[in-house]
Amino acid sequence: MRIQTTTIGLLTVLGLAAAGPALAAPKLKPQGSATVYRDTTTSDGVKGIGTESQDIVSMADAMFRDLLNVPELMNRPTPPRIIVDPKFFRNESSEIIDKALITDRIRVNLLRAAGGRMRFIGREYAGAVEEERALKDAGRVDVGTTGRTRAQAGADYRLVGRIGTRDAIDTRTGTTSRFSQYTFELLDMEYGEIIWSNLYEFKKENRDDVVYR
Amino acid sequence: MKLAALSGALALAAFGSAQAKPPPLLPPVPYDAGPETFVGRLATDLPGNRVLNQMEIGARAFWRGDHATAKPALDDAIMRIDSVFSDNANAAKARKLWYDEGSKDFKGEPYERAMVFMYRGLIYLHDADYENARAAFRRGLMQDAFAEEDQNRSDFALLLFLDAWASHLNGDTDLRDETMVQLKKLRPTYGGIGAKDDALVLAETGMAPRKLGDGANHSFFVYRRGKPILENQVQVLNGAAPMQAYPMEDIYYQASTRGGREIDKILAGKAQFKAATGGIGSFLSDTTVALSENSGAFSAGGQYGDAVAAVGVLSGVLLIVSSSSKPQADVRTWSSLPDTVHVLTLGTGGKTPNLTANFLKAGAPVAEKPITCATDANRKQLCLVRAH
Repeated sequence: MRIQTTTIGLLTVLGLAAAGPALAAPKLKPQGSATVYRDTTTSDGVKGIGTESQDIVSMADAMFRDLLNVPELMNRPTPPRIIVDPKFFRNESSEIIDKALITDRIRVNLLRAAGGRMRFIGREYAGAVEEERALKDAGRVDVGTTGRTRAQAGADYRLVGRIGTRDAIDTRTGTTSRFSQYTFELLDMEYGEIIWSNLYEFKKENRDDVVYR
Repeated sequence: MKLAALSGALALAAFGSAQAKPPPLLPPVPYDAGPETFVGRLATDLPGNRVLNQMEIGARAFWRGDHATAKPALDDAIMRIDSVFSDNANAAKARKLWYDEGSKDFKGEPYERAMVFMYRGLIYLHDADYENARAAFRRGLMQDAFAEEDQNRSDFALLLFLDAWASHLNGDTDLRDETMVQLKKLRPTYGGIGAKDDALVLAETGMAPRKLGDGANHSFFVYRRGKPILENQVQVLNGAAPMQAYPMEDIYYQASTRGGREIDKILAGKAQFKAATGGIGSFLSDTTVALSENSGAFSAGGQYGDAVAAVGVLSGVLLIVSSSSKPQADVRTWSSLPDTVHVLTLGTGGKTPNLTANFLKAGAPVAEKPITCATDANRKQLCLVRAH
């Protein structure tokens, strides 16, 4: 009886082992593959618990749509001036990320959708503007076609915010999770009041193979 | 019939065992050699060794100042470390009864994975991208994290220090101070970062921890301190009196512990800790900078926990990595890591300092080397030197 049990157990193990590759994901071909375009709103083929392209697209689109509904921005007789760049969008998280991917997308979409009801200040390019103004001041180039101003444009509002994460790992199960929270706020650059806020959050979890735990 | 099936199965198993012979380890590369050999191996070596080769390329190119080579290598290693091998064929093989551990795609032990993030973070520091540097150091801490009553903790003090330094450079004094509180629990004798400090000196001494296969069929391995260890202290000379660099991390200690607790063995994928937390012999206590025996812990979630472990004086840990069902333990090792990492911060007023490192063993000078300083876009200095 013991031999029989052992035999069945061993065969079961062997059978499972043999079936292993068949049960695994579809086999990749050994050769490489040509580059293909993917929809930026679809989930990444390379999986992790970090921020993926679809998260960036989703959060930036959600924010710019929400900003279009802020009365202080849309109902002013004189279009407000806004800075949307990554400088004061703080990354305090464990996420290695190019913050400009998010702020650029918000700015571009907002600028295109606002139809002139908001003006955008390119403060990160202030050096380039200053250089050109100095050339004009020195008379080395002419004044162009839009005329001179006393100074560069000041801003009424600036996009600020914070990226935060909370990571957790259970080494017993190999499960890793990350809660990510992106906070977006619009700061009044004269009075310091926050006139708009929104959050984008997600939590991802995965578990690695037992041989890596 | 049953016996025939049994003998067939055993024969198959025996055949499988014969198949389990790991690929021969490639010849070692000198510690101070550049990344070239490993760049070549990327094309010729087994795909499962890709992360290992990228680790070697990353560190060796970093120490040559070749960030253009180091960056993509470290990024590739990070991407693959982060990838979850839920349906990976090689991982499945390594799980089977008759395949050796070395057949799996190499991702490194926690201390090796943590060091990938450290080097990548240092390059971010060099590029004046302090926020991503901090993110990299925090990700490194997660590699070393371990679960303790549902809290995630790490005792990798070097990464905690670098996290604080990145916050300091970024002007995030609140975050710096929060992290320093936790670092103080791990390194109570560390003096801290000065308010006007704008230069970091990071010095590496000694050789990488070794994994030596042992037992029948090399079914487990033991960690051994790298050798030779010719020095374990660093003085920084700046024309004036020598400044003692602080021995912030003992990489061998990190290799042979999890969260400050000595590992007895890992069986069936789980670390078995010794009942008594005797601890591992640390070089840090062998230096002129005495450290407390109490070790704190860091909660990778940003909420910090209390000390859970104690550092003692044992050395030479037996680490059983594989149960007897897996014939051979995975002894692939990142060979270009240091034994100890020392740090010093100082104020330079934005001027590139002219520094020299004086390496010592038990207080006696053994070598002297110039320290290479790089000034970033914000006039902050990253000064690097390694003994070998």
